[in-house]
Order: sequence, then C-alpha cells, then structure tokens
Amino acid sequence: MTNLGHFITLCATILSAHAIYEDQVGKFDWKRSFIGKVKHAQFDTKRLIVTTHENIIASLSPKTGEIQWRQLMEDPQEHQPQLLHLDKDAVTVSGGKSRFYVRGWDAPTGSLLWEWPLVLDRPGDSFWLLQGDLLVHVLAIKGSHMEVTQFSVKTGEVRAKTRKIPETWVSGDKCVTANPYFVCVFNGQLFWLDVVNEGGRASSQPIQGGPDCNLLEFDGPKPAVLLVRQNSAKIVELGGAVLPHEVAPNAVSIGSSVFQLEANLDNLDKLVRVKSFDLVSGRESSVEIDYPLGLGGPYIVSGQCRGPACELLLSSTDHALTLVRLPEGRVSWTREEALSNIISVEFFELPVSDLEASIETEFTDNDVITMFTRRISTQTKQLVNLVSGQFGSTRDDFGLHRIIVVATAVGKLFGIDTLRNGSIVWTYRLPNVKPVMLLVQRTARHAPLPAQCVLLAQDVTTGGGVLFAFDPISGESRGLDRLSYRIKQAFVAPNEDEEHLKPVIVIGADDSVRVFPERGPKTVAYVYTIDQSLVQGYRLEPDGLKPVWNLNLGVCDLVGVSTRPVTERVHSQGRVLHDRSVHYKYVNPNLIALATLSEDPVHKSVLNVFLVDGVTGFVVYSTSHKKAKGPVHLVHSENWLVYTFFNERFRRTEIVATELYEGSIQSNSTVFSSFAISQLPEVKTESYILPANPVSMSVTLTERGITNKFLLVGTSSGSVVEIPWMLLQPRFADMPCGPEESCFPYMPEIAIPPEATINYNQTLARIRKIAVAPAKLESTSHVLVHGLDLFYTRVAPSKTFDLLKEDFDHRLIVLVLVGLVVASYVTKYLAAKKALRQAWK
Amino acid sequence: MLYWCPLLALLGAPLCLCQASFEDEPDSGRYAIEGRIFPLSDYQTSQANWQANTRIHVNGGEFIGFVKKDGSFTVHNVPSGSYVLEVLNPEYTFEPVRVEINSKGKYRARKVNYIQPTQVIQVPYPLKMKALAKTRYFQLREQWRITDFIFNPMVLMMVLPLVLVMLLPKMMNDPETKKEIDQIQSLTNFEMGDMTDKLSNFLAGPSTAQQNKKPQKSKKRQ
Amino acid sequence: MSTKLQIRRQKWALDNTRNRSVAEGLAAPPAFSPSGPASSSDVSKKTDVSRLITKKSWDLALAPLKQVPMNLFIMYMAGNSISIFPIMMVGMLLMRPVQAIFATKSTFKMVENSSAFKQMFVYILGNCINIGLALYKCQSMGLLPTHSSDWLAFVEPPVRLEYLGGGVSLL
Repeated sequence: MTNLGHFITLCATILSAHAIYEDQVGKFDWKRSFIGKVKHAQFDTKRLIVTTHENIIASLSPKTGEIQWRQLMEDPQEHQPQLLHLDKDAVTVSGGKSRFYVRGWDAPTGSLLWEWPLVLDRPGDSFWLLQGDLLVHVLAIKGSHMEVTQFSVKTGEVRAKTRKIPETWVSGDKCVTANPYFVCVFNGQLFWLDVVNEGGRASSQPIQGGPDCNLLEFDGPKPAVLLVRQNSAKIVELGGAVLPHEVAPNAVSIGSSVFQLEANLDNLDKLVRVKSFDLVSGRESSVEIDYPLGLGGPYIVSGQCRGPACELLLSSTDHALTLVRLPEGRVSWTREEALSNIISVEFFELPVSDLEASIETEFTDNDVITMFTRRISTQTKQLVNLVSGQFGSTRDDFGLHRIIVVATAVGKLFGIDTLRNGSIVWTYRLPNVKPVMLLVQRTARHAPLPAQCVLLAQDVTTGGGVLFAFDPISGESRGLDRLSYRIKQAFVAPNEDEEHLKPVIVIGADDSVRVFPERGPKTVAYVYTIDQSLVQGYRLEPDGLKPVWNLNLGVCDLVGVSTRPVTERVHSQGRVLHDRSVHYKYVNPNLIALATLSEDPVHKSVLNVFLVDGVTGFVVYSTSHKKAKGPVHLVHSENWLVYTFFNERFRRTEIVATELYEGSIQSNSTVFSSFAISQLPEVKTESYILPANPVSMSVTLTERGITNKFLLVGTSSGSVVEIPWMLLQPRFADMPCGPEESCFPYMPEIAIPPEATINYNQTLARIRKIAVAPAKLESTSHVLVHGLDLFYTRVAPSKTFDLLKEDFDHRLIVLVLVGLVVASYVTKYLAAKKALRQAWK
Repeated sequence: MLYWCPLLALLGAPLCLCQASFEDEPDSGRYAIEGRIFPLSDYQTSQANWQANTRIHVNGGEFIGFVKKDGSFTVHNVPSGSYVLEVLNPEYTFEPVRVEINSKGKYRARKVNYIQPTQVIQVPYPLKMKALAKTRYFQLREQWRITDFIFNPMVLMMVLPLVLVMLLPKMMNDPETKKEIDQIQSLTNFEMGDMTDKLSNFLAGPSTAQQNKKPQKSKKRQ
Repeated sequence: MSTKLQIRRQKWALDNTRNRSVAEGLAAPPAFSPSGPASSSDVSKKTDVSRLITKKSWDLALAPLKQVPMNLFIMYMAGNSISIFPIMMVGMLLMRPVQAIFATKSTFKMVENSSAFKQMFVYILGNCINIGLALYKCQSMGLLPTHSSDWLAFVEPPVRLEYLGGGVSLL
C-alpha cells in the first residue's frame, strides 16, 4: 500500500539507526560534571579529596579544579557524608539515621579498597572519630546516655565492646568531636570526654555567655572547639584556656595558623580579605584576595600550607568552590557547583547581528547615494567578517547556537553557551531566593527589541513572591519585584502587547490578579491550581478570578502532572490508515495529565491516570493499574500520553502509550474549543515492557512538528536513550501493520540498543530532568540533560533530512562536475576532429 | 540451589564474619549480595583502574555497590526480596541478573526475563558477572569502496548503455555484420510496415472515392 | 523473400514518382519505355499521390494507438513500487501524449494536408487513451491525491479559543 504521503516522507520514515558516528563525539555535545556543595575537604600533595552534600566523594586537581575521579554513594536524601579522613587512603563514613557505610578509597584512582556497613538498632545522633586505625562511633541519645563503640576501620571488627556511658549532658544538637574528645555544651558548661582511650572521665568547664551559644569543630594543633555566639567565636582549648582571639565562626586552622575571611570594605576591587594569625607566635597577617564578583559570601572549607605558601579552599553561599593561593591572594580556579541543582531551563535564540539588523534601516533613506554607500559598507563588513571568521554571539542560520538560561536552586542564574563546550556567558546571583520557574516574555526574534525573561521565585525568609526580569542574552537585570504576598499561580499570557512582550499574570494567595508589566493587555484565560490531591480550575476575567471547576482525587499521592509544551506545534491533524483514509487526532491543548498512587487493601497500591480538560474540568480519559508502584513518569504531547510505572506483580517497568482520536471526521477544523465537545474521544492504548529504570522522561520538540517524535528517557544507569514514538504508538487492532504502512509490529519488550544512547559513554549522574527546545532547523531539537551533570546535545529524530550530511564530500562533487565539463569539451573537440577527418576521406 | 547452599556458607563465612553481628540478625533481616566481575581481558589491561568506573546497581540504584581491586563486590543492607542487579560500566555491557533472597536468607540467582517472569534459568551464586562485549554506541561510517560504486545499480544503468553506444558503431563498421543487421532490420521493418500498411490501407480505402477530387488539387498546387 | 523485397522497393519508388512529377518537363532518359509501368493499371492506382498522403496521415494518426500495447507492457514491467525508474517511466508515459497533443498541428503539417480532421481526431483520441493509461498507472501507484490523507498535510491546526495556564505549586 503506497500513498502520496508515504512518497513525500519516504526519507523521513526510515527509523533504523540514529546513533552518532564516533568522529562526531564532542562536535556538538558537551558534558560538564559537578559534585555539589562541598562538606568536607582534605588536601593531599597531588589532589584535593572532597565529600559533598550530594553524598559524593571526589578528587579534584588542585591546579585546575578538574574532577580526577568521582564516586557517587547512596541517595543524598537519606545519606550524608559524616566523616572524611585522608591519610594514605581516603576514608569516608556516610549514611544517616541508623544506616552507615564505612569505606576506604584508593586516593589516586578512586577505586574501593574496603567497605563495611553499620546498622544501628536504635536511632540517635551519631558522631565519628578516626584515630589511626581506630574508628570511634559515638551514639548520643539525648539527655540520657551515649554509646561508644570502637571499630577497626578497615574490617569493621569491633575492637572494644560498646560502652554505655550515662551522661546527662549529652544534648545531641550542641555536640562536636575534637579528637580524641567528644564535646558538648550543656547548661552553660562545656563537657568533654575522651572516647578513644578507655577509662577517661568526663571533664567540664564553665563558659560565659548563656545558653544561646553553639559549638563548631576546630581542627587545631591541640584539641579545641569553636564556641560561637552570634557572629563571633572563641577558640576553646579543651583542658586549657579560652584563647583571647576573637575569630569569625568560619575560622579554620592550618598547622598552627588560624585563617579567617573578612569583608574588605576599603578596596572595592577586592572585596574579601584573608586574615591569619599564628597561635604560637601570635604573628598576624592579612591578604586581600581578588575574589570574583558575582559569587556569594565565602567561607573557608579547608586549606593546606607549605611554608609561607598556602592554598585555601573556599565555598560560598551559592555553592561555588574557589581555590585561593596565598600569599598572592590569587584565585586559582572556581567551580560553579550551583549548576548541580537546576530548577528551570529555557533556551534562547541569539539576536541577529548588527549587520543583519541594519538591513531593517537600509531602505529608509531616499537618497540613492547614501543607500549605495551604506550597501557597499555593509558588504565590506560582511566580507571582513567572513574572512576573519568572527561571528560572535549572533544568530546562526539554523538556530543551533543558543543561550541556555538556567535557574539553580540556590538562586543563581546562568547563561550557558550551547557551543564552546558549554562555557558560562553570564551569571546573576539573587540572594535569599528560591527559584520556581523561568517565564519567557519575549524571544530575540523581535529585533531590535531585546529578549526578556522573568524568573518566578519565592523569598526564602518571607515566602513572598519574587519576580526578576532580565535580558537572557546578556544577563542584565530589568528590574526585581519583591511582592509582599505569596504567589498562588503565575503564567505567561498568550497575547503580546505592542512591544511583543507577553505579560506575566500573577495570582496572589488572596486571589488578587496582577499583570506584569502593568500596561499589559487584559486577557481572559483559564488557570488551574494543584494543591495535593485537589485540582481547581478558574476563569480569569478582567475583574478577577472565578472558580469554574474542582476535582478531588481523594486520598492519594499525586505523583505526576504533565501538560503539553506551550510552544509545541502539531503539524499533522490526523493519522493515515492503510486504506489511505484519515483518523483525525483529538488535539486538545488544554489537557492536563495527572497520575496518582493510592493504597488499596487488595491490590497493594493502584496507579490512576487521568486526562482532565483544564478549561472545563471534564475528565476526558481515566485508567488504573493495579499493583503498580512508582516512580511514575508522565509525558503528554500532541494527542498522546506516555507513562511509565513499576509493575509489582511481574516486577518490571512498564510503559503505556495512550492516544486520543476524534474519528474519521474532524468536528471543527478551524477552531478548537474545550466547550465544544460532543462525544468522548476514541482512545487507543498499548503497553510495553521497558527494560530500564526511568528517572526522567521527555519528548523532542521541533519547530513545526513535522519531524517524528522521540521519547527521551533518562535511566538510573546514567544513560539517556531515545525511543521512537512510532515504536510505542498504539496499533489499530483490525489493520495490517508492516513496513509498507510505516508501522512496526507490536513487540512486548521495547528494545533499547546501545546506539540509542544519546550520551554514548558519557554516563550522567543522577539525572533529574531533560529539557528540550526546538532549533530553527526542523529536523533538530536541543536537549539539555541536567542532574548532577550537565549534558547538552542535539537530536534529529528523522535524521537531519534538511541538512547535507556532515560527511558530504564537497570536494568530490566539485571534482566530478569539473571533470564532466572538461570531458564534454574534450569529446566535443575530438568529435569535431574525427568528423573533419572523415569528411576528408 | 541445593548445591550452592553449602558452598555459599563456605565462601560467605570468612568474609562476613565481622558483619554477621549486624547484617544477619533476624530482626534487621538485611543481607549482602556478593559477586565478582570478570571484565574482558583487553579492558583489564587497557584501563588500569576499571574498578573505579564500574558500579553495581540493585533495583536501579536503590542499593549500590562498588568494585574492589580484585573485581569482587558486595551490596550491603539488602532486605529479603527479589532484585535485579546490574553492572554499570561505560565501555562494556554486562547482562543483568535477578537475585532472590527469601526470608530465611537463601539466595538464588537467575537470568532476567521480563516477558516471562516465571521462567527460571539459574546462574551460580555468588555472582560471576562476565562482560558480554564492548558496548557499541556509535554507528560505523560507510567506507567508500570502488566495488560498491561500480556495482551500484544506477552506475550499471548508466554504464551499460554507454558501452552499447560506444561498441555498436564499431561493430557497424564491419561490413558483414552491417549487412546482417540490415537484413534483420529490414525483416522487422517489413513486417511492421506490412501490418501498418494494411491498417492504414483499410482506413484510407473507403475515403479514396471521396478523395478523387483532392489529388487534382494537390497536383495543381504542385 | 524476393517478392517481399520488391514490394518494399516499390514503396521506395513512391518517392521517385513524386519527384518525377515535379520534373515532368524533362525528356525521358535513354532506354526508357513509357509503356512498361503504364501496363499495370493497378500500380498506377496505388501510386496515386493523394491516396498516399491520406495513408501517411492515417499512419500518423494511428501511431499513438499503436503505442498502447507497448505502454501497457511498460506499465506492467514498471510495477507499483515507487522508485526512480518506475517514476521516470510513468512520467514519460504521462508527458509524451500531452506533448503530442500540443504538437498535433505541427505533426500534421508534414502531411501537407491540413484538413485531415478525422486523422487529427483519431490522433488526439489515441493520445488521450495514453494519458488515461498513465493516469491509471499513477492511480494504482498511489500517486494521485484522491484520498483525504493526501490533503492532510495542508490542514492547518485549529486555533485554540481558550488559553490555559498555571499548574505551578508555590504555596
């Protein structure tokens, strides 16, 4: 069965191999690895071993800051690094609550040397001490007693039986360790006990200051702690005196020196100053450091000194990691660890170059001579640009060069170049702000007006809404709006004003409606809110918000919400059947896909999936799966929905594809209204086995939606695989399916070949989300996978049918053409000669 | 299963002596999955620290394990149940294994079969994970070869007529063949001519009477 | 064999007679016997010029019809799959009759008998049959946009009347 459509898209429907070639590695993709906010750090001669809040142990190069190796331990939600000790090997204790892992790592390679687990039978606050080969675990049970156990660090063998020491001063939250002591503050007194050597007795010492003081660890030459009161601290040597020095709470001792950071208000170029003093000699010194602008407030994590030359590792409130060399005060390198936790991603096209923009003004003059000179000058400029090969940050022909704007959890915005290996173009730090999402107000297509983006965020302290408008290309601020109230809902209105700016509509917690910018056009729109299991729909009118519908999902966990991408275009309004008739799609842009998990006495847990029309509240489709378990991932695009869940009965991950059709007649081909539904859409559904554990799912987007769709599935093994939608698309039961219908026969298990891995051997750690944006080239979409790592690539689901192949041999075709022309002339000449000779015969 | 139980006890006993007090307590019900990885020999030699790049995931990262220098691994703190154990390595593919631990702490390892979950093909425990092959992430670039070019049907279609065009005139030059061809041609031509002649005669015939005047006209013109 | 050849030669002689009619004023060549050819009235009838012209024009008019069996054969050989050669063949099948119809006038000008309406009619009819065949071929190959699916690519997406936003949970 052949048809015209088939003929046209002949090249586009080949679905075989999509993998890249080996020589394309790194040509348009890049990966950046991160480690997260640093918790502990230890210097070695050749490396810097750190553990982070992401429960990672990593080795960094002290010269460049590059990751030499990195090992991801258990889920950071429940497990945190507790101890890092670097001797010859690196020793970590990580865990939380009642489960701990003690591991030894080979410092040069990062391979595991030994590990043993420790499971506590009762919860409490755990403290760890390592001395030589002895690992001491102190379990503090608040107000009652503590249990001290000593282990051999390499084997986990119990050296000494658990000692239960009944001490009432064990308060838990105000205790630290100071080798070999366990120190607590209780009732205005400082208590400590030697936990390494048996038979020690608890000692105490009164302190001034009252109950609001805190304890911090201090790794001095003698066992000591930092006693912090408000913003200043004192060093207390255990069994000795309180040192007279008033230090900052972030003071760190290296050798016998104490280092601390101070704000340097004298010199505006160098805002941070390192102050140090020697505990023995009392010599003080101060170095101004050229701390980079744009980073948050720093504190010292660790350092090492070799004679007068010191290296200080600074971390900042925005999780940036900086290595400072003293005494020069020079910053060796900075790692932007904020990028390890991205909240929202937007792709921005670059503005057209000044040259192209000047075309707009080219024909405004009436004077022929000026027009002529202008034309000549622009063309010479173009020629110069072409010769010099400088293109700068301007739009390319295919829209492949973009600026990725990311909002990170710490409230720092980054502009990242898609080319040049993902270099950071600009950063902007918003203190005390928790970003929620980025809203695009204006793209760069409306030259000469610059693009504009709004960050919707929440104030950390007050919880009030924050709107920050900025230029996504340059990162310049366009105004920060701190609202006095909480934001209930915010979205970008569809209709733009005369400056092509789409207004952001903000609905406060008190249902008040505000439009940013104020002069923006008033719109009628529908809004929905999700509050646990209650979904509510409102109609937004110029005079306020009116509730339209609500949907109570009952006692359940809402595990997934998905709507169609706003920018998505559906090119084909129907599906062509084998008899060349059309089955029209039910493309409803207002659909909300919801997934809930609820407990069931018979079937353990039940997964319910709903498709709700967000305008009317009408449930278009619902289904349920028994004995299903999370994680549930939903993707809704065009007229279909794909979701994955874990089937507990068969202990496998299943993926379900659901498609909605109107039937063989399109009810209204010109406008779509949610209110004009006359009959339920026809639902086709099919499910498959997915031999992987998905952690994130997304779908490719292209400019016009002509290109086939790919599902991008991030798996727990750190790969992102592409699955053609054609493989999942539900088949029509009573129709033939084969290559002639460009249809794949049903296979229960979706094969995931290694070629389908878009990140090839670049394993990505803890994938959180996959952001997709269309390129100007119809065949291509941009993909940014973020999690702990950042990976950018381009995918072409139907191959780059609108672009010459990369390996297209331009020289060969030129050679062949030239050869043919030459050959034709030569033969012409020869033929003429022959004809002449024959005529003479 | 029966065979493996004593062996497991033998193997596991010296290793787990220390953990025994914590892990094999009946109230905690936590077990350790053990095994060993056998990479392909070329990988072992080409990358000295392949152990650092290899990870063990149980149930998609619910429990993890690291590989020691000798290739052995242990996944700790696993409660009884059924698990899929995967070996993750960026360069090599390993087959996943389903490990089942019953409530009494007995282990059974079998091949993963998602389509028929009840089918049991046992594999030895402690696990022996062998690399299947190097993972092929990349497409191979087509190599340009002259034979491919020549046997391309398009090229053949172009070349064959060219050969005919070039060779036939040469053959025509030979007088004898020319004669022969002429004869054959005249033969076929004649037959065709005869047929068409008849048909057109038949069609033209009835109009002869009508056209009696016409020839004169044409004669005049001539 | 030899008789056939003779007839063939006579056919060639037709032209000679025509030429001779132009140069009638010339003296007869030596050893020419005017009674020879005249003895057969049959031949003289056949060599009648106008009749030959008619015959020739009928030849021309019937040419497209004569192509029909050949075209059918080509169509059969081309098959229904879509690839470059069948497409080229179908294109030729379609283009040639159309071109021929447009060039009818010039074709029949050669016959010097411009008022051969019947022949022209038959000629156009024959070409039309060929076009019909080619169209049938296109139809069976699925190249004719006769189904709704062929116009699907031109259906514009409907304009949405309602706009939905929100879904972010911020509270």
